[in-house]
Amino acid sequence: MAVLRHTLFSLRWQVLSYGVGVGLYAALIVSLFPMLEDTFADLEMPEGYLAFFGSEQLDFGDPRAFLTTELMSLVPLIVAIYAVVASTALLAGDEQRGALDLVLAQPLSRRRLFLGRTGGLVAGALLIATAGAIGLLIPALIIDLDVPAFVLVRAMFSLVPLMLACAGLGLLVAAVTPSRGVAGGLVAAETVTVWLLNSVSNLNDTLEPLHFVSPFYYADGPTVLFDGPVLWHAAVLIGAFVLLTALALRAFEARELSAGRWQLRALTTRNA
Amino acid sequence: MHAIRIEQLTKDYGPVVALNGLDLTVEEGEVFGFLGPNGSGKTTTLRILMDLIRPTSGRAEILGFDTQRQSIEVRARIGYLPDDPQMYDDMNVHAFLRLMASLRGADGGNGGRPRHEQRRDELIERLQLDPTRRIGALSRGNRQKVGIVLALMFEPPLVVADEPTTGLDPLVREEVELILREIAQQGGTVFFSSHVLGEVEQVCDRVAMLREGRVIDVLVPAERRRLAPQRFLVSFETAPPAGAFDGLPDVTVVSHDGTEAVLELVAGVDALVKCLANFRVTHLETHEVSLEELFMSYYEPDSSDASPGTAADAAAGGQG
Repeated sequence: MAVLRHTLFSLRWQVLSYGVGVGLYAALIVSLFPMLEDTFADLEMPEGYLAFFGSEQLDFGDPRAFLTTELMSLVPLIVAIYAVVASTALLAGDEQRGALDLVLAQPLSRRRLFLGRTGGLVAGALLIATAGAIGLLIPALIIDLDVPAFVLVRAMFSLVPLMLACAGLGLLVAAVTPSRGVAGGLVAAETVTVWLLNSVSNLNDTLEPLHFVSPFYYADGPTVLFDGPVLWHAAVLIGAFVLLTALALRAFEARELSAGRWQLRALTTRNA
Repeated sequence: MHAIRIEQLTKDYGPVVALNGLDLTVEEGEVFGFLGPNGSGKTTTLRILMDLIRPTSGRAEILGFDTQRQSIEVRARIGYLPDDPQMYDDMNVHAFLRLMASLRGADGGNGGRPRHEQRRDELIERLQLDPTRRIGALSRGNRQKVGIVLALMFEPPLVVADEPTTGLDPLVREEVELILREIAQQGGTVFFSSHVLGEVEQVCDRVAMLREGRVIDVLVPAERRRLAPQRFLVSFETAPPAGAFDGLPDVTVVSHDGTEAVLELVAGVDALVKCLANFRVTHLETHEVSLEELFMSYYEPDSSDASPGTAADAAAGGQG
């Protein structure tokens, strides 16, 4: 519990800023709907624009369509960036600062430390989703938005598996790269690339198979407000999180701290 | 049982060999110094003992526990102070020490005030540390004090410290040296690396000299002082005749130039004093070979091997 508490303490500013940011953004978009409803009802968006964000030609007088295009197209990328920044900063950041030397000088197993840190990441993801859901719900209740509250809450919490998958990748890369900077840069570049890949794959049938490699495809941003999350999509993301985290744990247990070099062999080295 | 036993420890980073078959034994209850120039393998050795990095080959034991396979048991018995300790800048000293206590499973107990809190407060007072200050606002020296408090507050049977007095002012440095001696007097073991040779000489029961990842000698500073050559610089009112000091037992004439003579003595002083009594001495200065001179002699560029004899010779020669 001490590790978990300290992880949440370390993440407090990131969770607060991303949570408040996502919540305020969601609140703003919902609040704008009554003002833009009539304008958007007659608006025909270019097909390419809609396809890029994973939508088809929709009735923008429908709040779900409006929220899908204006909110659910970008929020997955925002929360994925949180997951990348937080996951690569937690252990690798402490290691780079040298703070991990004193932490691991205590009789605390690396496994316990890693799992406590990972628990903090999961809690952070849940708190950000909660903040986003609150940001959606309050203005939705005020303006009497014609979308059930549970649909809005479900949409926000469907982003948690995406955050976890991105965090799992961040933890793994941070466990084998020389520094937090290298890990953060690599995973951030990968995240933006697969987000673009998923978006571009919607533009053209030939490119469509590419979206299977992108975690954003499994986050169901374009459809979650209409049909809810696809369970097997969520399972893929959670499975990826479990697999990547298990590999990251293995690498972290064998990692040589502050060695300043790539440590891919840590993945295959059995510690003692 | 040995406090530390290191056998054939090797660590390489690709072509760079940091440790090259290091063997060392530290007994319980002694203060043991670890000396060597930068890059000789001191920090690498300490980090392997703490299981922060892994050896390429060889093994180490702390109080009978294997440092790699039984790392948790080892770390439960060590108070560790790294070189330039880094902490969480956004916490204050008290909060940081409380966090470390909770990670150690030492927070709380059977209702009374935990023993480590009493020890923590005692150390904070002795080192003149303000525990309410934010760590990010502390100077290098004050962060070092926090590291020292953390390493000692749980009263571990073994203290492992990398340059423990770096950044401290002379008064606090003296206090830390005193605390380290107290730990040994109470049966604890202290193993530390240092560049401050005077400190090592004053505090340590034994000292290992490291060079290129190997222990090249283990010295007992007190014994060393007893056996080390003593040098006499003598000024006379009138020049003693040539050969006046020849044949004196255990005396070597380093130089004799008119009214000035430099003599070196490796055993009893009696014969020399009696000989000097035959002349009118205007000035007499004695000089003991220091650990620093010994240290320098070990690390001269062409000194590929070392033994107490050659080191002493080199140190003595350096005075001329």
